[in-house]
Parts: sequence; structure tokens; C-alpha cells
Amino acid sequence: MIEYQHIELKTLDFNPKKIGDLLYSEGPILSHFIGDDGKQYLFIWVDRDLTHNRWLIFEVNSSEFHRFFNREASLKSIILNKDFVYIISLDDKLESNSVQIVDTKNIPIEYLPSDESLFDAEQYEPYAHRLKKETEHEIKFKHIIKDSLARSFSNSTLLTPLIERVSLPSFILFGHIQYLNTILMTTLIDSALNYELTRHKKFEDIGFSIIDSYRTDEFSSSFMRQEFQIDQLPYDFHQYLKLYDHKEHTPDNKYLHLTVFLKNYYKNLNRERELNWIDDLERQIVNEIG
Amino acid sequence: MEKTCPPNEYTEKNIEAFRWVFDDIQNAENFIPLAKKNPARILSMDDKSQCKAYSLSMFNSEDAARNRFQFLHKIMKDKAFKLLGTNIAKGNIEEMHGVNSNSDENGHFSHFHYESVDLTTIFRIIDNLR
Repeated sequence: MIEYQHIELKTLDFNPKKIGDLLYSEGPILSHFIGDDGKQYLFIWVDRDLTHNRWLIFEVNSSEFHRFFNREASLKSIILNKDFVYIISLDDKLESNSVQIVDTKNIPIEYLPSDESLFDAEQYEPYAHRLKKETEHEIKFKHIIKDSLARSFSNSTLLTPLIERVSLPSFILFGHIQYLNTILMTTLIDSALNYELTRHKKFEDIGFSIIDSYRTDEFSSSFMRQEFQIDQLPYDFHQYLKLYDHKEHTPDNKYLHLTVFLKNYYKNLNRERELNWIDDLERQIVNEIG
Repeated sequence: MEKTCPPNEYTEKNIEAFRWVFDDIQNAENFIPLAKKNPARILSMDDKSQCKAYSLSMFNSEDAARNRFQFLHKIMKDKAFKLLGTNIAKGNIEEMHGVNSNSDENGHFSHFHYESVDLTTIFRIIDNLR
């Protein structure tokens, strides 16, 4: 296989989990992964020898996916926009004999896709179409959220159609939106989008982007410092339910909307996988702003 | 693996098939599905155990085979000749050879050949992919 300048690593910096194949021909050619670092990665098949297949790995964010699926960016341009990539060689037991970090400028030209490596709907796997749709939802969703943050949530004409799609009875809580309920709102809209956003931990990213948006607003920041006492939040999801059952439900109870929602959410989903991200979300929020 | 593999809707049929192969048609590598390749090109253990890993990719026309290769060449450039194949081979798949999916809109179909079938005797190279 081709040699090039690189730094050998013991392992990848993240634990990748395969989500789907974008290109497949008697085996994966281009595949989508989520790392335990919450980031998204693409693995592209670049070489092989008698014992291993070699994969070039690069991070891709939702905005880059969006541009790729709209043929505004090629795979090559996305790769070249990175500071570095990983190149890993895997045998058929998924054991690696080489994990490398490679400066983008040192990637062998043979391993780079061509300038014409644009999305082609007819040629990509069904998973790519789902990811395209999911990415479109996320981009649209972020736009709506950011736009609506500049105004009152309840007055947002953009949100209204989505809110109407929310199947949960708790959407009436939009009339009482407080800080914590920015998270609630993302979740409600996510439910309107058939939970496509909550897959693959993307919800957390969106939650953070909302919090970041608030941080840029002077009023909101001061409000957050006074009202958003994250350390008072019950950590465990089941404690939310307990809280809901035993706390007095007054309009001043700042947890009320969240707990009502989560209870309904829990009833609607009733699946363990979706519960995990709630814990993950809360843990990350605690780390971020706690 | 799926409950039934190959899927029940896959059928025996007489069909002209086209496939990428390497220079020597007798090269056994030309007709080994993913699940039996060494090393198998996988990114998860599921890749190897799913039903389609036991099938071979075929096309229902030379144009379809060439078009798909040309598309992948945009991604892999000349590595495609090392990794995917260098020639187009044509063969007449018959009912006794195995079962097949229907062709998709790109002319691609999956072929599961029966164990006794030697596809190297059925296919012949008709053109190169360069």
C-alpha cells in the first residue's frame, strides 16, 4: 500500500459506531459513523492489501453534510477543509494493524476523491437518502430555532406549523416557555419530526446550539444566571417523574413544564434507547453550564 | 442475518448478466462474495453477517455496469481498477445457477449462486473498464 507522512497512534481518539452505508458495492465504500465524542465521521475505502483494508476517516458536521447533499461541496472539498484525517487499516475481524493521523496536506493524492465526488441521488444507498432528509430537518430546525429566539416563541409564525404537528398533549406548555423549556421545545419539535433529530445524539448538539445562542444575548445570559440553576435539577430521569408526582404544580414551579413533558415523552416512547439520550443530554448540559 | 436468505422474493431466472472482474477471468477473487472474502471489507461485524454479504453484484446491461463503475471512479479515481476490477465480463445466468433480485433503477441486481456453480466458466471478459 502507499506510504506517506503520518503519526502512528495506538488507537483512534474516539470509539466509532457504524450507523449506515452511503455507498456500497459488495461491501461498504463510504460509511457514516458516530463517535462516542458525539461527532460524525465518514469512512471511505481507499486501499487494500492481502490482509487489511485501508480506510480514510474524516469528521463531517451537519452543515457539511447539508452542503454535500445539495451538491455544493464534494467529498474531496470536505476532506481538504480538514486539518487532519485518520487512516486506519482493518482486517476482517476489525482489528487494526495501523492507526494513523495524517495532516491533510500529506494525504496521498491517490486517496483523495476526485473533484467530481458530488452527491448523486441515484447512486447512493437508501441510508444516504435518510441522512439527507435528517440533515435537512436539522438545518431547518436550527434555522427556525435561531430565528425564533430573536422573538417570542409563542409568537413565532415559523414554529406554528411544526407545533401543530406535535402529537403530545404537552404542546400547550408553549404558552409558559421559560429557559429550561428551550430544551423542551427542541424535544417537542423533534417529536413533530418523528424523532429524527434525537437519533445519533444530534439532539444534544442542537440543545447546545440553543444554549450558545442564548449566551450571545445579554438579557438571556443574565436571566440564565439568575434562574437556570442546573445543579438543582434532578439528575436521574426517573427522579423527574417522581418530582412530577409529588411536587406542587404551581405556575411558579420551574420544573413543571419539563416534568409534564418528560412524563408524556416517556409514555410515548417507552423505549430504553431514547431514554439514554436524556441522561446524556443532562450530563452534557451539567458539564457545559453547571 | 435476515430470517430468510436469500430473500423469498429472489427468483431463479435466465438472464444476461454483466459484472466487473479483474484481468484473469479464472481469478477466483472475481466471484467471491463479501462474506467469504479474505480479508472481508467490513466496518462492523454486521457487514459480514447480513444477507447481502453472500450475494454478488451484477448488472443487466453493459452500460449499467460501466455507468456504475464510472460513478465510483469519481470517488476512488484509478484505485477503482485495483479495488473493484479492470474489465466487464458477461455471462448468461440460468435458472440452475442460483437466485436473483430484481434489477434496480440503475440496472443492478444481486445474484446468489448455488454452491456447485463455477461462475468463472459462465462469464467471459468482453471489454476493459479503462
